[in-house]
Amino acid sequence: MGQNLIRVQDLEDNPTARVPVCLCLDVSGSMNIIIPGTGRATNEQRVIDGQRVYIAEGGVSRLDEMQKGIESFYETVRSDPQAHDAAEICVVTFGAGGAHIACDFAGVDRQTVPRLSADGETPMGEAVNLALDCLEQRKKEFKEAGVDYFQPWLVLMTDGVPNGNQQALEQAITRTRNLANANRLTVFPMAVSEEADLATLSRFSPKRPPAKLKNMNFKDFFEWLGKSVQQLSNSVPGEKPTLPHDNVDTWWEI
Amino acid sequence: MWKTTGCAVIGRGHEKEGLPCQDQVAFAAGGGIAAAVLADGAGSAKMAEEGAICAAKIAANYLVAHFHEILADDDATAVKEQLLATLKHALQERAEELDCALRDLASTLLAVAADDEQLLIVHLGDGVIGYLKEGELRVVSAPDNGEFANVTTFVTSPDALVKLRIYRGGVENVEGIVLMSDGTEQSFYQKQQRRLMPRLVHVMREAALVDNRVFVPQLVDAMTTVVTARTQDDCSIALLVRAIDEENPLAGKDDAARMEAFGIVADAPCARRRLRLCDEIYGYLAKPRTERAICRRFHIRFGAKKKLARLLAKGYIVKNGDIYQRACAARE
Repeated sequence: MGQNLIRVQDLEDNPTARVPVCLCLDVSGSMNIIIPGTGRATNEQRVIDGQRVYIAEGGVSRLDEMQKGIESFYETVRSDPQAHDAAEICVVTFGAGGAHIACDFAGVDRQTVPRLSADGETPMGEAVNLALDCLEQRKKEFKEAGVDYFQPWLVLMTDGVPNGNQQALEQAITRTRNLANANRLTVFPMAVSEEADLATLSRFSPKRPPAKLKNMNFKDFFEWLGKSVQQLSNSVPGEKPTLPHDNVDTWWEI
Repeated sequence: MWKTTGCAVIGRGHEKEGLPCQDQVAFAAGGGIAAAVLADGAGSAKMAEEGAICAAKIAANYLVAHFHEILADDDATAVKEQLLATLKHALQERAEELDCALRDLASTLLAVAADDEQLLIVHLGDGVIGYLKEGELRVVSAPDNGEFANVTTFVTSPDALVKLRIYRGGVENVEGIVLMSDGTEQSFYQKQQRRLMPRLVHVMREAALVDNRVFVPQLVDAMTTVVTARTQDDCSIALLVRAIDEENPLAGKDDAARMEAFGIVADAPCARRRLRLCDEIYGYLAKPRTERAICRRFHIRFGAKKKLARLLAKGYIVKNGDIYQRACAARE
């Protein structure tokens, strides 16, 4: 009976509120290191990204696992209708040639999962600055288009020590800290190997200590991240959703 | 002269989780003043629905009781402080009864009160307030979201005084005011252009015309089936509209509104003449008449069935056998 009062075609179809997620990923040469137990070491040695390593035959590299992780992140996000419409993913990498946008913010529909390759150094500061620039640009576009958005997430993953421009690194740390302290950014600092610089990672994140990824288990982390996007995008506005930092302990144990 | 109506319906999110509806509406009237209030309980508050009920009721009664006093006071800050103090006092008492903290009763607040001359509008938090004046629908107060989608200000927030908006004005040519929670806003407020959807004009005019016993179930049905489909959130709407003269519901309306009621296209040829004829037929049907009598009275050569059918379909007149009569007159 109320259909005469209000019909579907009379209503505005406002866009879904977005969940911006920026992945800032280390693709320095050391990400090619083969995960122990998966390949066969030869006697040949080489220095890659500041580390002396044996050359291996076969095996699965850190990068391979990270690639699989990102793919499962996209899969998890795409599998939920609400998260599918809400998620906006950006991938910035740092390695050979400096910081690089592998995939700029857009709906997951219009994105293909970027294929990453690893080489070179660890210019982390430059990459975080670039990631934050992308985020600012996207937020500006949201505002202009009248699209609501949630507090953005920045995932920062490294297996090494930043060795880019020192000034850029300090600037990136200050920018990130200021946003996080003002509750305008949620930062997930991740150390993916024992060699990762935990001290620098923790400087990026005033509210949460860096987490260590155990056993190169990228897949579990990214699935958890995807589930968190699902939860946030399905939450009722104003509701305090179970954000990653609320249930992070369940994941931190991995 | 003002009529208030509205409803709050549970959203898909809360229904799934078995939680109560956290949107609430409340109304009050007295001394020629009517008030409509809407409160959206904060999702993060433990007893949000209780807080919303309490805030809406207290605000409605307070605005009616202190209407003239508030409008006469030029110190807007003092007015806001008094209103918030009254709300917080009542919420504090409720919190003690419920054995919870004040913040567990957090809600937004959207309110309107009016008498024959003036109106008063209050807005804190998200949701949107619109008004219909001279046939035009405009936004009075846009949603006050923080930067992020799930953040806004509540009655219990520390910055409530700063964020509370208060408006006053004359009622001349104002047909009605509409209050919407953020759930309803998703369907009726175009965020990019910051404008309201035109269908609200129809909703407001129906609200003015149709008795609440009929209108409210229609509104609840429309909100439940159509509006809640656009969001996970609870949806509510509250209206304060100029009540229509029971004897002649169309008498006080302007040409555009009457043309819409009679189904006349405004820019069609002879629209004015058709409107005048419809007005006259409608007036003539204060008493029961046959079609023949109508045709004779208005020199209609080829029958008046089409015109009468339109008025019948809109519910302005009723037909009983061969006899036509104005709907409100027939009810008595």
